Amino acid sequence: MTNEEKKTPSEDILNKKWDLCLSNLLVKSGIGLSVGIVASALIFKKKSWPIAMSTGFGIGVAYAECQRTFNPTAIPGVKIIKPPPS
Amino acid sequence: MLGAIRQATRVRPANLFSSNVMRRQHFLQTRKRIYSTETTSKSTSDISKATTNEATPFKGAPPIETVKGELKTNNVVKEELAKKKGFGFGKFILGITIFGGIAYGGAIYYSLKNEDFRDAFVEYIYGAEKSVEYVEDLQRQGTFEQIGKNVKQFKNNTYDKGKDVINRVNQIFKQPDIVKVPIEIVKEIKERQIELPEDPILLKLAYTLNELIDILDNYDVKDKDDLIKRAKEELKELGTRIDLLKIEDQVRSQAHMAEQNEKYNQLYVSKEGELKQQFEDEKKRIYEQFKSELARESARNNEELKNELVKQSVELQRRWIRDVKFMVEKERGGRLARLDNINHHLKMLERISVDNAEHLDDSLKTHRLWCTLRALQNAVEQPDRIPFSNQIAAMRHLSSTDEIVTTVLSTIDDNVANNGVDSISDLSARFATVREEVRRASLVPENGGVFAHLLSIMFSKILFQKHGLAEGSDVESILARVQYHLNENDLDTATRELNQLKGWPKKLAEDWIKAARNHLEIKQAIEVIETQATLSSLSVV
Repeated sequence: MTNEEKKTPSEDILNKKWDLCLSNLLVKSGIGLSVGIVASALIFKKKSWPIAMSTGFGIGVAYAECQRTFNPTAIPGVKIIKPPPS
Repeated sequence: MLGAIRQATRVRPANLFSSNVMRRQHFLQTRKRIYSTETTSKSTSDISKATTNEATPFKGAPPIETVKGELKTNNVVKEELAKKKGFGFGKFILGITIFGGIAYGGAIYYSLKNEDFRDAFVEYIYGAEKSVEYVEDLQRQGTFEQIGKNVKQFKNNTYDKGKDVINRVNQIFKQPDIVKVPIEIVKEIKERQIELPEDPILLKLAYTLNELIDILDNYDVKDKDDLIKRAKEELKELGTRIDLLKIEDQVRSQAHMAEQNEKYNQLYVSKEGELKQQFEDEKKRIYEQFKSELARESARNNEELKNELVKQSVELQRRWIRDVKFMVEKERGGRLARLDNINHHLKMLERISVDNAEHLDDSLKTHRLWCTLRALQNAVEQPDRIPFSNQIAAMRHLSSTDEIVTTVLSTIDDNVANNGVDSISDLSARFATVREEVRRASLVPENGGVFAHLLSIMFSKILFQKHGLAEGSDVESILARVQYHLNENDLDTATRELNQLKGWPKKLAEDWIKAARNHLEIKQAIEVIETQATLSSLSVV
């Protein structure tokens, strides 16, 4: 059973990725939201923008991670050059 | 005439002989005269004379005329000789001429007979050829034969004439006698003749006397009867005297013989005794000698026989041994041949049994192969995944000698064997999910990010689904074809179609393709092994 768990069938790869991305998004955005609320309440005298900004950070991190999961080779600043067809 | 004939028959042997001699002489003379060519007339006269001479001796009266004739001729020759003394030269010429003529004639005659001589004669002598030819012509015309005939005729004529003359003379001489003595007297003469005595000497004498009597009968002599009588008496006396002498001689000889006989008898007896003694001695001696010799000889013979016997026995034994050996060899050869035959049969049987065992083995093997194959097929075709590693191991064990089977089995992955393979129904069921996922990711470009994926999912919902054998190399068409082939139960083609995908769809479909490939591999292996099994079973049968 452990063997089967390890090996996900090929048709389910994308679904898994999507699951991971969604959970990542939820976690990151929730962390950002909470950090923004705490920061606005404590540091920025109950202003609303720190909440949006930190949530945005959270979403952005989630997006970046998701992007990496879908295309691990697309690292910013790195370009993979295909070898010329011989 | 009759008297003459009788006389001729009673001629004494001596007389007859003399007359024969005379006749031969005459004959020779006549021959000579005939062959001489000088005077034929003379020879004819001689012949006539000879005939007269022949006839006359039986007459008792000598031929006076012929004697006179001969005397005459002698006188003539003497006269000629006397004349020729005068002409010496003429005689010489005549002699040469005659001699030459004779020689020439003889040469011609001989040349007629001998060819070689004739050639020589014609070559060397002048005029010979002509003369020889002339003579030949004459001979051819028959002149010589005519002459010969003439001569013969003439001779016969003269002979006849001579005979006539002789007869006539005889008649003249005999006529009175024949007239005087009649037949009765002749008979008397016959009676008067002396009886023939037995003694040969007397017989001769009697013959002589008879002849004398005959002669006396022929001639008229006085007191011939007396003379005859006296002769008879004397003859008789002579006979008696001879008889007496004979008797006397016989007596004397008898006495002598007796005396001699006695003497010789005595001698004979004494000699006989002596000889007997000698003979006995000799006999004994010889007997002893022979006995000893016999003993020796027999001993020697026995020895020889023994030797021979021993030799023969040895030879026989040897022959027997050889024969027995030969027979034994023959028998053994026969047995060995039979054994060989049996051995051959046995080998054949062995081979057959081995073949049979092999055959059985093969058939068993094929049978087992079939069994395992069936088990494998069964395992593979189950709707659930069932591991078939046991079947594979059994098959490997059973057909370790079969190269093809082992090779095929070696290609099967242990993992697959342990896990088993998906059935077609499983695969087609799984394809439904695979198809959905693939369609969702069908529009994702290579190296697409999160939004690309999101867009693809979104747009794929809008895309029309294709069905059946759709043409084109886009993902939707491929998926439609795969679905079609799967529906047709053609996993092979379906897998090939799906393998054409690229990018994310390929990645998504990879597991399914793998599973399908495993299934196909196992299926192929089973097919190959099945074919092999079929072949082996065919070869076995």
